[in-house]
Amino acid sequence: RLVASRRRGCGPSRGPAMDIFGDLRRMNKRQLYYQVLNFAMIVSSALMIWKGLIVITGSESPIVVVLSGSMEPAFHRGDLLFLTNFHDDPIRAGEIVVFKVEGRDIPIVHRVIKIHEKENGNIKFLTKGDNNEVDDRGLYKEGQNWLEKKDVVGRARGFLPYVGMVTIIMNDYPKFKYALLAVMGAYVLVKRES
Amino acid sequence: LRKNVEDFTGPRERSDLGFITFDITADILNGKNGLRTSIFDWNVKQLFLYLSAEYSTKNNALNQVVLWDKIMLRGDNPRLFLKDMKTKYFFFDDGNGLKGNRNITLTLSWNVVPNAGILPLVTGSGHVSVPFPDTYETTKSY
Repeated sequence: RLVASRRRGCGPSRGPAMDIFGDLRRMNKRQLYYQVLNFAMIVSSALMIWKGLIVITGSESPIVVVLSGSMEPAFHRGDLLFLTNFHDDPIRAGEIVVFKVEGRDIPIVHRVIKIHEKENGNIKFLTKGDNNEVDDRGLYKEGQNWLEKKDVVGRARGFLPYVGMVTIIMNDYPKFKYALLAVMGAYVLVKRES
Repeated sequence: LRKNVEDFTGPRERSDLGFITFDITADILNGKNGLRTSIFDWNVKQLFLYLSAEYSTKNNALNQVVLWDKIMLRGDNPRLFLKDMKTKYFFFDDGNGLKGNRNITLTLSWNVVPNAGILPLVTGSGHVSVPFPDTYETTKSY
């Protein structure tokens, strides 16, 4: 007696030819969903790690890329900085801080050269880039002569050279960013689990 | 580590301005593990040295002002022998707290910049206390 063997996961039988097509289409779709879910999991994990870093370091941006040469020769454009921003860490002269000027989005990495702290802990401080001739007063907001704790994104605690260049390239050459995303998208669709 | 200073003060607008000349004799060493080895090990790219003045005033409980800095690259001599140096930056107080202030502490510190890794801030042992006079200097011009 001849028995037609059924393939795994196939639906109502419509004859052998339709069977194969139906199976292939369904298997591809399921695999595709699986790949997309896999990818989404990787993205979620990365986001969780990033958020976790924000919590652990107390900084809204625990990893920043150096954008200018104002701290050379210590840091160059494209270097990566690791920041902490613990509330109880006092700001002291000589420390490298990353701060944002009110109203501007771009973080600046410079050194603290002057601090005046009141008894109650209120502190005002002045910064200057190692490679700059003058202090940062010209960079602050109109009429602003000092920075305050609230302007600080974090204190630079560690650094890696060159690694941040990828972000700068993606910013300066958006085509590169899209190409990278396209490659990643293609990888997701094409990759098969053996 | 030793420093010697002389000083004068002069009021500018409403804030005290101090002038200090100093000497620095220093040998920057790595004090890790109790050994005194050269600070420039395989992972040290440069040192950012700075002389800072720390003091208290009526206006502010803590003040720190960087008076002078120097970048020391790997390969440079870790020994400093500077004499009669003028401060690189103006020593302004936030107010008039320098006049008659008997206790301005000068310390030499440095930021170790590695090739990759942690960025420590180290304060040198040895510091000098400087008093400022009670009166403003009006005869000299700077």
